[in-house]
Amino acid sequence: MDTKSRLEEVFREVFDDEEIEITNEMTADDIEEWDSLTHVQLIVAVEEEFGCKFSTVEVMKLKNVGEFINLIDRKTGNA
Amino acid sequence: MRPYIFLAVNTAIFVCTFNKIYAFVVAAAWILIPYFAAPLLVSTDEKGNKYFRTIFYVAMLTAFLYLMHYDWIVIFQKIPYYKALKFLGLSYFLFREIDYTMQYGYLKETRVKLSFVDYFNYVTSFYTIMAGPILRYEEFVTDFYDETKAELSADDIISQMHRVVFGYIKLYVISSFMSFMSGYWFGRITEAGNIFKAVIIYLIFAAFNAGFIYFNFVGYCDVVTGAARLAGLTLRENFNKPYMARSMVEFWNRHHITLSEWIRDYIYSPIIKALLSGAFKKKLFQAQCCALFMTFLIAGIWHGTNFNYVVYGLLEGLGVVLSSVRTQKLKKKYGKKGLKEYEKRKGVIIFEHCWTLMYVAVSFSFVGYDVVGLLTGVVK
Repeated sequence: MDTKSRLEEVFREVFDDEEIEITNEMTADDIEEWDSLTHVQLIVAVEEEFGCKFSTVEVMKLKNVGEFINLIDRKTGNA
Repeated sequence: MRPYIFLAVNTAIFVCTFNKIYAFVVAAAWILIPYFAAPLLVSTDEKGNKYFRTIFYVAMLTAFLYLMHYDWIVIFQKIPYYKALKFLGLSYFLFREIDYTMQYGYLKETRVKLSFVDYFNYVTSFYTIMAGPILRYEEFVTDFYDETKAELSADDIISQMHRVVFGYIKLYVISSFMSFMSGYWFGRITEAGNIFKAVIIYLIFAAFNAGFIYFNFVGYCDVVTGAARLAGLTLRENFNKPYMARSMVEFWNRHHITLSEWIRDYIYSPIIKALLSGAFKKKLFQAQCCALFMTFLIAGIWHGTNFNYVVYGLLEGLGVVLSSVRTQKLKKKYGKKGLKEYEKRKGVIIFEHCWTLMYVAVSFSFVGYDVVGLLTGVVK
């Protein structure tokens, strides 16, 4: 499975919605439940799934899901 | 040329706020040290770096606590304190300097301008020297040098000037009136005679005080945001109708937004990550509540130096935790879709608005008034 589909699984689990389909341009505005609290929850779930750690600043700078995928790839050495 | 004009104005205004030369020395150190320490904090040596970082932030916080002179921290009572050392803007400088030092590595990587003039203008910007909005360094510099910004039209100028004038009206007319009224009713609490009357008078006082806090802060933000806009700077909006919120979580997403976001990034996130990788593994909701409580307690304490602010922090923490627990419970009971229907009920809407307004007013009553002193006086 590529990063995107694995990330999609994490999204579905965190937001408790099996119908979520992620796109590169997607932002927090597109998912109603995606607020500052679930954001941290999402980050922790991603860290667990991909076995990497993000710094506070890295997480803060993410502008959309595409950037998130790039960050994960960079961290896990897939890029 | 423009950065130097700002540098001159910021310096002049900042210097005017000093009463004593000692404060000037401390303020200079408070501004210079983080600037020169920032590159050292992100050096490549991982382990040494970590220790240095810890020492730096602990020293910074200790100095902050000492300079603020918190009444209830016993150890600071025992060592001499020189009031003359304290300077205007100390608390908000701390926020900006933490942002700058924490972001330094990222800023360097993305080639954001990092000159001392920009840093100094960021930290001491006279528009935001006394209070919020709390800008981030990157945001400030990007906006400062943004050349794509359209020039202000005549209409823009008029509307920004309106904003400033209305801001002054909120500050000096409405909020002054509210402040007078809350002071008046606060003084009458002890003369109430019986407990029932006292509670009513206290609630009237709390309502006026909440009004005072809102109009004072919103008025202030209108003045500085409008004035900054006229000078070509964009300050982020800090309020979004906070008293229309239906829960304490929503309230803090609408009130003093830049502070809420700052504490989310620099207090809440590190705490919850530490909790989830430590004591609260797999217990996400508990970790979230615990982190929320600690975050708001710390933020409350930061607001002021006496014990009332500790109570204020405890109440804010409790308020947001209660609000999260309630949402969680309702979600379990009604399901996601059912919850939306539930929230549309008239009774629920009224209850949520009333509860939130009342909770805010009661918790805010500890800001600016010695309610703790009043309560302990009653007990005695």
